[in-house]
Amino acid sequence: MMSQLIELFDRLAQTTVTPLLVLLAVSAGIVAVVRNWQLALPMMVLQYVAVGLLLARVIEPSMAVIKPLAGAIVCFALSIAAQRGDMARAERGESIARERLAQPDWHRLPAQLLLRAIVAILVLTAAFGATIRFPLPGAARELGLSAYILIGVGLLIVATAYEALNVGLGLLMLLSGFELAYTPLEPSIGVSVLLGLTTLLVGAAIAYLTLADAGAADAELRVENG
Amino acid sequence: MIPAALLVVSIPLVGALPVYLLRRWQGIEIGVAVLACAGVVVLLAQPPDSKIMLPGASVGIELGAPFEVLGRLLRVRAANRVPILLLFICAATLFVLSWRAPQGGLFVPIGLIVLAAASLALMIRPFVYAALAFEGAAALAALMIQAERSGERSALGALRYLSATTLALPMFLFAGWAIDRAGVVNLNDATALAAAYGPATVLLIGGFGLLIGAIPLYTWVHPVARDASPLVTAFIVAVVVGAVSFLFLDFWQAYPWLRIGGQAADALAVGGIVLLIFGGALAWAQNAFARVLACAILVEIGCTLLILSRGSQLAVEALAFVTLARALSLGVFGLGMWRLRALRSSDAFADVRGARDLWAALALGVGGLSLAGLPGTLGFVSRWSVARAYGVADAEGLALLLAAGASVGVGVVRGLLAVFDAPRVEVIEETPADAQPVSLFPERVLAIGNPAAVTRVAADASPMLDDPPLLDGETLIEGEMLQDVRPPAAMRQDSFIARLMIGLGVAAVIILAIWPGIITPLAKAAAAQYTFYP
Repeated sequence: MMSQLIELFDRLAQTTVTPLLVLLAVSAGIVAVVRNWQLALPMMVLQYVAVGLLLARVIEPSMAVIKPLAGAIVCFALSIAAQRGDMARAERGESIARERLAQPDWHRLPAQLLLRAIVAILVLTAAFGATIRFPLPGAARELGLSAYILIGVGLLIVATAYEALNVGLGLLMLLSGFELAYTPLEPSIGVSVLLGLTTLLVGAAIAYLTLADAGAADAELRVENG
Repeated sequence: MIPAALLVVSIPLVGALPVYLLRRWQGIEIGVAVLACAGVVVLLAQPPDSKIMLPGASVGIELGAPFEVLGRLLRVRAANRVPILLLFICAATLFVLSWRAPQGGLFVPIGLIVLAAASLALMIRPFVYAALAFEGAAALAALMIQAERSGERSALGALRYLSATTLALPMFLFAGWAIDRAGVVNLNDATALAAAYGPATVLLIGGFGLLIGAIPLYTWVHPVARDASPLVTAFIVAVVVGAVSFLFLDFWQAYPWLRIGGQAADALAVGGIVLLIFGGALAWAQNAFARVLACAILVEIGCTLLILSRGSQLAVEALAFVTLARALSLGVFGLGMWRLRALRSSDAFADVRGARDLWAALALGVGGLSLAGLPGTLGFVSRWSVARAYGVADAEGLALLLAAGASVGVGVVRGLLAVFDAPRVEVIEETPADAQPVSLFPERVLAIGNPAAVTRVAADASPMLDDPPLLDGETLIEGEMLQDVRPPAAMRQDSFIARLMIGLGVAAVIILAIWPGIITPLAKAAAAQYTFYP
């Protein structure tokens, strides 16, 4: 089963790169603009798959598959934390992700979306320019562009978001970008495993902070501190 | 033979599990944690490259033996032995101080894991992996920082700390690559040196600045001091920042181009002075103990950068001394903050006004003035060693050091004056719109001390002839409704041991100031192992 998955991964990685880049840019853009976990987390899973496929072009596919696996586990943990956070918000009568998706606030939404979309487009353009002007060492151009996109959009989210989940998604995106930029320089098992482990640890911390941010962890924290 | 490196990492890691399981019994929890730390301290106190045969067993422990993980070598090098030992002493001190002063259920178990990660960072080579260890430590420290709070935007401190460490990670990764790529360069050729190692120097300094909390100026230090339990803040500053500082000594040792180039030393000195100015300019005017603590931490980090910029034997001695002194001073100050937070749910000067808690004042006074470098406290000896290491030739730098310390002192004294000030009574007059013509209570006194706890009782909606309705914790005294200043539940646990810890901490700060020779041999032993001195 695992060997078939790795083989499929290898085959996909060797096919055309343009869809992967489009997927990466679209997923990063949606996470930066929409900031609703019900959309953002599936996009992150797709993004991790794209990152894994891009990594498989420079390292062993059996090593590259660590990234989407770690990413999927992290997104699953984050979705549980976000769900519990929404349950706590619903109990307090606050709006939750599903409601905001089903019934958007058309008075506020256009301004927010437009601003974020413009900034995201600027960041994507800058990433494209940086790939040409400052190509990353040791990396193929498509990996350089992917790394710049993820680092740029990740920084944008970390700098502008204030909810723990969104800041965390920005940090995870940053880590993926660094990995894309660094792995071609040192394509070793150790680096891949340790970066995968780092993704898991950061994901676990963000899941915990998401619960605390939503006030869903109140009861647990009171017990802990008691 | 068992490599000591394996034990240094695994003892705190394994110890974290029973500590977590026993966290309900705080005495046992702390005991196990201190025992784990003591085990590593005893191990590292052995001479370098010594072999210890375990009684009744055919195996022994070899201090300098390497241990391989994922193709990377872990080893207790002679230069790292004393710094790691110091980190374990700092951690054990803070664990002991937290006895009966709960800092969140995760403080001790996660503290042990963070300690293991910090030790790993010092022992692993190449140092690129140290950055990964610090990232792991930061992810876990985020849980420790958050443990006390919950609610919207309460995770700011943890997120800032995690973000800064994550941003530092690629800088170290790429610095490692840039160093490998630079190849062999004539160290006497300044131009070739700058061209080959310039990018690596910038990346190393940038990553180091982010990890230590110096770049940008207002980064994780203030939010962490505000959000985290005081001893958690002390732990991060003493242990993690301490480990980062010692890692930089390893850079000095390993890379002659970093010392000879001069840019790194200049950047550290400028960073140190900027932090002293920033921390010193803000400390005196703060209105909460957490903010004073944050400014004191900035000043401490500034001192560390100044010491590191010198790269002399005296500087390494000072760094070792400062690391221990900082842990103790921050720990004692943190205990005082914890008492005030337990009493008034806040450490803002306005909220603690009139608290008049002698034990809190003692801890805040001695710990805070030690952070300020007041004579008679350990902090004074620490500042003196910083001044010696930095060099008396730079009079402006020394003046800044003194002024920054004095500013922290003023901030602490302002807070103490508030603690001993008369309780603030807030008089809330009814507005004409609220006023009822038949109300018998034209004005009400509703709160003492803590405006956050002011309970606004609804103005009488109907004429009342009897006493007004009293809420829980209020007392009616001659027509005035006063909120009782009653210790909350946490302070009912205030025990002899909590006061004993404050007493011991305060005594240690004073005794070590009188006999700094107790610490000096350790500082000298740390300095003796480095060979990069001019």
